[in-house]
Parts: sequence; C-alpha cells; structure tokens
Amino acid sequence: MNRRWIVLASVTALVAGISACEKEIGPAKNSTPYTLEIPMGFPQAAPPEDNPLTVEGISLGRMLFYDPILSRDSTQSCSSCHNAEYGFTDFGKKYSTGIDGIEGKRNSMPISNLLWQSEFFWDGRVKRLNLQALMPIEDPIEMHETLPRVVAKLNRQPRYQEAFRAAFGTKKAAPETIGLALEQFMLTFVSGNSKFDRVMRGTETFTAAEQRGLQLFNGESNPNNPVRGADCFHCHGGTLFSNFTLSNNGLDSVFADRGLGKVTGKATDDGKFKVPSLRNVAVTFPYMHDGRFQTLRQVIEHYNTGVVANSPNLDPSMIGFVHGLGLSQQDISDLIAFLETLTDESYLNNPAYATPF
Amino acid sequence: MKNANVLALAGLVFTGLLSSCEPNNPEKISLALHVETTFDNAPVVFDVSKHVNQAGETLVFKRLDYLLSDFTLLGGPNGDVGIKGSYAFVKGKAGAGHIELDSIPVGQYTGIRFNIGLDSMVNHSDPSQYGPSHPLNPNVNKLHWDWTGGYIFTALEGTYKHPGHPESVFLYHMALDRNQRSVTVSFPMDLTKRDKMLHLDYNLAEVFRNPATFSIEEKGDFSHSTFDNGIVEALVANMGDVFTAKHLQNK
Repeated sequence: MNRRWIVLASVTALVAGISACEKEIGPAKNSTPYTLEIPMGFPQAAPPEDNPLTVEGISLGRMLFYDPILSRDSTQSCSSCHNAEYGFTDFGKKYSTGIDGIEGKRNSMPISNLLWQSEFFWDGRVKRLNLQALMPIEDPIEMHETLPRVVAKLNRQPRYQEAFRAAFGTKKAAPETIGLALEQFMLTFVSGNSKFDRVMRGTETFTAAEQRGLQLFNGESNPNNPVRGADCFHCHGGTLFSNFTLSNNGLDSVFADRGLGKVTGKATDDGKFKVPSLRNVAVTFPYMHDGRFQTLRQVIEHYNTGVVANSPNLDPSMIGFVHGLGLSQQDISDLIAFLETLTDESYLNNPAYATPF
Repeated sequence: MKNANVLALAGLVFTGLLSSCEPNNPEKISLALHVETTFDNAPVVFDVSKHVNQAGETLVFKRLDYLLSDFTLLGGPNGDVGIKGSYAFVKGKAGAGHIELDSIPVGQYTGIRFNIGLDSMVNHSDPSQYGPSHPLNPNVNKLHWDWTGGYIFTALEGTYKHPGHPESVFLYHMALDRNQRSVTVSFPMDLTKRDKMLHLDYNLAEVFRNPATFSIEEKGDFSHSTFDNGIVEALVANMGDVFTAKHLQNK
C-alpha cells in the first residue's frame, strides 16, 4: 500500500513538473497586437506562431537592438554593425570589429524583409531569427558576453523590468524572451517602397537606362536568344530579390571559407553562402560574404567575366556565366541604374527603426 | 490485486488501441500521396548519389522541384472525381513529398491523374494571393518567374559527365503553359473504409529515355524553356511515366 502511494505521488509530481515545464513563454495578457503591413506584390508571410508581434514586444526588441548592455564592456550593440542608413550593414566596412578589437571574417549582412527568410547568417547555420539574435552576444569576436550576465544586467534595470513585464508578462529577463523580442523588432524591418516598387505600383516610371537594366536583370544569358541578358533573376528574382538559398556563385576554385560546408560537414556544401536580397544594394557595400568587391560594377564584372568555371559545387544556375555574359560597359551601367532603383529611402530613414535612446 | 490492476490497465490501453484502429464508415475519405525520388528503384541522394542515364552519362542531381495540380481520382463508383483546387509543391531535396487529398467519396478507384504544372489561368495568377504555406506561394516553392509571369513547373538541376568529357552542370527550368503535362498513374485503390496513403516513385531515369533517349551532351545542358532547340519539349515528352505507384497502405 505504501509503495502504491509512493508511486502515485511520484507520478503526480512528474506530471506537475511536466506541466510547469510546458508553461509557454508568450505575449503579456494586456499587450497590444501589432499587424505588420505587407507591401503590395510581396508573397504572403506570417510571423512565427509562438511569437506573435506586439507593440510592447517590438518596443523591447528595439531597446535591446540599440543597447550596448548586450556586450561585455557595454561598448557595442547590434546596431554597431547593423546601421539603418547602410541597409543595416556596417558603414561600408569589409569586416566588423568586435569589442576586443578582433576583426570578423565575414561582411556584415544586410538586414531587411526577414519575415520571408528561414536561414540566417552567411552560412545559414541558424534556422530561426530569435536564436540568431542571441549568437553575436556570445560570439567571442563580437560582443563576447554571456547570456547569464546579460540577463543579470537587464534585471538590474527598472526600465527593462517594466519593458519585459509589458511584453511578456514577467519583469525578469531570460535568454528566450531576449531572443523573441529581438526577433519581433527585426521582423518589422520591411523594405518595399523603393522606386522599383513605385514603378510596379504605377506611380512612377523608370528612366530608359533603368528600364534597360531591368530587362538585362530578367533576361537569360543564352546564345540562341537574340536578346542579351544578365541572368540575375535566377538567384535574385522576385519581389524579395533573392531566392534565399545557399549557393556557390563561382568566386573561387579553392575556398578560404567553406561556408555552409563547415556547418554541415559535407564537402558538397563547400563554398555555398546565402544569396542576399538586392534590396537597398546600392548602400550595402562592400559585397559578397567576404566583402571582396567594393562597388556594384566590380560585382557585375565578376559575373560578366570572372566566374570560376571549375569552382567546386558551382550552382547550376551559373551555367550561363561560365563562358561570360558578354555585357558591355553600357550594359553594366544600365544594370547599376536599375539596381539603384531598389534603394528604399523610407526604409533606410524609418524613425521606427531608429534608436529609442 | 496488484496483478489485476496491471491487467486492467493493459486492457484499457489495448481497448484504446483497438478503437483507434477500427475502420469507420465515412462518406468521405482522404488519400495521402507519398512521393520518393528514385532512379530506376535506386534512391536519389541529392548532391551525392551517381546515376547513369540511357545515353551513358553519369548524373548527380542537385535539384528536382516541381508543382502538381488538378488531382483526379479515376474510375470511382460514380466516375472520376476531381479534387477542386488541389495543388502540391514537391522539393526533392527536402525528402519525400507529401500531398494530402481530402473529401474523396468512398469507393474503389482505378488510379489517379494529375498535371505536372499549372493551367494557364493559375499559372498567370497573382502570386501574392496565396497564403504563407500555400504550395503556390513563391516564397514556399521558389519557382515563380518574376515579372515575366508564370511558374517554373519543374526545376531539374545537377552535374553530368559524358563519357570522355569533363564534368559539367546542367539546368532545365521547364515552364510556360504549353509545357504542362498530364500524368496518369493506374493503381487499384480501395478507399472504402480507411484513410490511405499511396506510395509513389518519381523515377528520374524516365526523363532521359522514355520514349526518346535524351543525351545532355547532345541536346544541350540548359534551358529556361525558350530558344532551346526543343530541349524542354523533349524532356516534358519523356515525363509521362515518371510516376509509378508502389503500394497503398492504411494511414
């Protein structure tokens, strides 16, 4: 009999424990739902079901994004390397420098339209934005801090106690809610009001050069086709100007950085990096995962004449590039004119994305 | 007493299992399609496995993505049954494709028909109308062709090595209304009592041989469906028998 009660008590305790563990983190009861405005023509998308956007959650994420408290010596915030005016990149730097003065190994990625993306970092090693957001904090060559210390620092500040309470119903910060708040804020980064968008909506028109650049952008490189094309659309097509896959665009025959291959351990993934969106590309220089090209003309010259045909795991969509695109300097200028229409000033200067401090 | 309790508990669990397995007698039933990518019964491991086509070329597949539409159950008790608004996107590299067809009237059927690709109206519809997880959402399938309008019906990419030649890449993006392809898979299906799952193979070997041998080296290694000297037309002509039914099981 005693044994039976012991078993029953144990099971009850286990169930109670599981129930306690299953208590989900979510928006505070009185938080205000936030509806993200999707630009016309964009594919439909929804925020993660376990992290609905709220005014309070976004506000907290904004504070965290701009607060150097996340770094060990309180000198760097997310915004230190992701500046809005540069399409959330690092002021034109090839590599960013962390709090210990150590230079990173990859170019700061442009940030926009993250709602439509499911792989993050140049090597796609993280599949969810709330997890991505925490990694630079603990990266020894970036913020070089620990999450427990960040939590402790945040919990000492009344303004954060109030912000976490308003967003998640508890004044205590936790790594999970830090990630969710940063995710909410970054999911609001929607760029869809460039000249290109306005032309698509019929409120503006392209110049002759821009129009020709668009035709080249969407045209295929095919010797049988009388109309010359630059084949950009394969990887950078659609309203998001990226297919957001990881692929090798023929930069090298030997890889100094394995990219996705280092993540998966597969040689067949070596040299593959995330295809970035070209929205705001004119201000997100330098280009490529290692920032090797300073200008858009250099980038297009690579695709025009520089694709390495024997690059391992070359993406099949580069097949039209390996013998050269045959673009003239005028073609390249027209392509650049088109790419510049993707600059969205209302995005780069959106006060909702600016520091709250 | 203790043993009696254990038996009672076991009996309860067993009864529960039986209940969940008992066939019901619905008026409508669902059929799931489970699609594996193969090359003459050998599993295709994208980026890795090598296969030799009818022309003797060694192939490594890197991408097989396709859109299916207009599923119709054939030979039912009251004739053929079209599943209205049925679309599917299969990404070969992501593993087996899984397609759910619901609200099928119960009965015996002789097979299934569907299209590889989309009809003209859907092909040129506004892609932004489709919900976040809809197969035709461009962000889901990555097969929409920008402002030229329309979807790629099948994207087939990889590397090939023709005997005596260096390895190279191939890319075929099969699009345009005229390249929609109807496919019929004959297979008796008893859909009278339980929801079922039909296991299908997508046999890539067929694309390169039936009815005409397709040599990548000879025909050409890339096409976007235009100015291609009939490459996509030849590939689509070979796709009539790519799907074969393997077996039907209870869900």
